[in-house]
Amino acid sequence: MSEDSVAPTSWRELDDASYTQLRHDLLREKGSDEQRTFLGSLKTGSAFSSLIRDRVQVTQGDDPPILETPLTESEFVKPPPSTEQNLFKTWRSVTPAQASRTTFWGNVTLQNIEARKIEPCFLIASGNPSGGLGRIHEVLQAGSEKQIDDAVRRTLRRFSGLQERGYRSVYSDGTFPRAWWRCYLAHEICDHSQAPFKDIHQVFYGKSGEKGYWEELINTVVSRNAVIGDSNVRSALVWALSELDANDLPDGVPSDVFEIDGIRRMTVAIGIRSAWQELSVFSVPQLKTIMYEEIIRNTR
Amino acid sequence: MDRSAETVRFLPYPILELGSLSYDRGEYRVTAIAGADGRSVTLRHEVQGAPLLDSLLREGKARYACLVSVPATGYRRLEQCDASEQRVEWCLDVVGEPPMLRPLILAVEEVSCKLTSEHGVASAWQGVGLTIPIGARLALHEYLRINSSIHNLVVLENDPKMSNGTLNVQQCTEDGFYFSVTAATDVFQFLQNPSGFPNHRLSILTHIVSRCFELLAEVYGIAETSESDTDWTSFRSLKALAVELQEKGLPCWDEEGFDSLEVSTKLYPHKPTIGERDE
Repeated sequence: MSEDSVAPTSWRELDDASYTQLRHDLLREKGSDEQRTFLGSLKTGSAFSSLIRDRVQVTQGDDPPILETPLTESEFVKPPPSTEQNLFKTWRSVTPAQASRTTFWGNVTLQNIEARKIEPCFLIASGNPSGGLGRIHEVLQAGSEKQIDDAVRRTLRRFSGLQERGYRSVYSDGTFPRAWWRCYLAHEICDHSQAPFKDIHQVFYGKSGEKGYWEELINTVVSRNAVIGDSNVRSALVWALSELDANDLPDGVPSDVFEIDGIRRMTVAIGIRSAWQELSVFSVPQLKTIMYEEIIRNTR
Repeated sequence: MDRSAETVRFLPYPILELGSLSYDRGEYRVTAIAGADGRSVTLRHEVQGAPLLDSLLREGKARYACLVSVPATGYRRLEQCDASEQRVEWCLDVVGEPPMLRPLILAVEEVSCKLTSEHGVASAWQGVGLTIPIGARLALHEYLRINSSIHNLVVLENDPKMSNGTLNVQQCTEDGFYFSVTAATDVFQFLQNPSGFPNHRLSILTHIVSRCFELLAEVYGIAETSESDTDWTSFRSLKALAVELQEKGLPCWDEEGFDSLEVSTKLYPHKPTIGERDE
């Protein structure tokens, strides 16, 4: 992505201090009245909006763009690749610095709830047939303190990402930021390679369908200051992976290359190599060859 | 090969860094001058007592470099330079916060040589024939540390609506980690200009620091469960502060026996002096 000199828009976002305070108040005691009230507010957009706006101020700036068409609950819980790309297009003008802020995404989600593009009960939904509304009733009527607490945490994670979990949360937990970061990094890799966007995005989205592949990958990039976080190195690795057909892997490529164990072993192997060689010194095409060697060498 | 030689040669080539025994008298120093714009730094790399490095740099087979990284925004780039004075810039809209900087010297060409005492290397390396690969970190500096004092985590603001004499401390977590201290106008003005009562000002600051530690203990203190939603270690400023406490022999907020008042007054003791009169 180009780093042009045009000043980015200053988007309105949730006030850091009051939003941090709200989260701390909510997470202080498992099963508290505060947690129950919060979950109860998820039943309607107006109740949820009032609860947040009563407690959290909003900064100065422009309102972020709102989705053109409403999302269904299942689209919000697990957006298909095409929906993720549409979400990214909506917030294309956002900078990486803004996109790494839970306060920014919290306001985006709140505004989309107020504009009826999504319902607040989507934030707690898990993909079960009972849906988000059913889940609220289940938890409030029969949930243990731990289940209530888990539900609150799940909601906050999906609302904005949960800063208390560390940086990874904004990339992996929130529907909107996760879609944004997958597409942003896919575009960055396309700029460094000749790979088609769709193929790169598919690697992030998960070629094997195993849950948690993206989380594992992004965790390495953002939670640790690892070599895989280097934009050239990660571009080369994902480019190399994008050229592999998950259903017809060439000889020598480990069968779990698109599974969590596989990516874990690969990042460890790359880390060991980087202990004696700074890989960032190579060009992306050179690195792609190195990454392919590491993928082949990385058999169990 | 004896054990000490193995220790000296734990990497396949000599490396000049703090604690490494590869060079007898080698030293790699870097001074950093922050740019006034807050978006750049000028690094001055200086190598002494390492003729091998001097010659590789002179021949263009090695280059000065700096790793610029911000894990929070997934940013990590290598900036290279031929000259020993290197200007490193970043775009805050992309990196998100001031980056971590790690100066180094890298091999940019593969080099085969037989090491001798002329190269300045330790005796364990002398007589060894080797191939230095492209990307070899020939000299490595520590990360240039950000300021870690808790006073640097406090951002003071004035709220004219607050009653005289009052303060409020809140945690902010988006721009790294810091405490937003909101003060009534009289307190705010006094902290800005204590006019002859500096120790009273310091006592108010100690009071604020105590509240900051209290909040840290409240949110990131000893967890009842292994809940992963209370991870403070992703905040660089808090990690640096924890190191500072450890270096001063004080407990961290997530340790048994942590007492915010005790820690804050040990860090910043009150100074009840004669000569300052209460009005």
